[in-house]
Amino acid sequence: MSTEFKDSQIQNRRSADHMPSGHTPTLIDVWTLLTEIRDRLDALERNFDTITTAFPIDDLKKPDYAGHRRQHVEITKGDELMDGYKHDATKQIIVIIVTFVIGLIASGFVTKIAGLLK
Amino acid sequence: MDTPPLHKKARHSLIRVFSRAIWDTDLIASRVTLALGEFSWAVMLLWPGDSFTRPTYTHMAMIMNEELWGVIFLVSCITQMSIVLMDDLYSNFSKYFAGWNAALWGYTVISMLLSVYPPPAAIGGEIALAFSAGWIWIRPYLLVEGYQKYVHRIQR
Repeated sequence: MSTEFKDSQIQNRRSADHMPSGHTPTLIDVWTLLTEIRDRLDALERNFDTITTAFPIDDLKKPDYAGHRRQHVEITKGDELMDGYKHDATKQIIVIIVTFVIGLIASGFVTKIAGLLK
Repeated sequence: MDTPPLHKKARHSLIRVFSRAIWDTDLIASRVTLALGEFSWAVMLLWPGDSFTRPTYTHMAMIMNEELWGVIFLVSCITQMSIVLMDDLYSNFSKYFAGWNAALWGYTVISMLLSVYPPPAAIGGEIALAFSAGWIWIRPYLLVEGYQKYVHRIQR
């Protein structure tokens, strides 16, 4: 029997769901159901093989699921640290700008007052 | 869960938006604007006539004549546009050029501010460009060295 089934065809071909109620399954029905189960299992295994190619191979020659997860955790931690750094640096820059602007306004104000007092 | 008060939300939002503007944007638009500014300076300085007799350019005139300044701005403009067009934003050459560019604009602005009093209003655009040039130069160093120091401080 050919295993060249498209996954969508396998998904759509659920003959067990279309059996009328009260119908006593025949041998043909059971055979059809088993064939569908076999084909769906084949499709699942093919998909799983495709997914595991996304993972590097570890020293045990197996897909490194734990390493992949650890790397994602580290990347997330790194991103959070970088966001924290940018946040803190931005606050300092805003403080510098506001201090400069206040100093500018204050110096103009002081000059004005000094001019009035002369 | 208690919602933070309005002023804290506003402050957090301001910091978040400002942070995105200064850290998470590429600076290509700033580089193009700097190139346009340098081109304008080159045209004005190489225009026939003597611009450097005006008091605003006293300090710049003491360094060299206006034709040479015009050529410097023109070369800077061409280099800046080449960096943008060749997408060569992160090489060592573009980092060194950014330092030179920041120095050029910084000196130009400071010399004009020191040459006349009160400060000329027309150099508001040049002041903004000088800050842009400085930020283009310093941001990569803040993102690498500054970040490493921050991580060491956090982990201590």
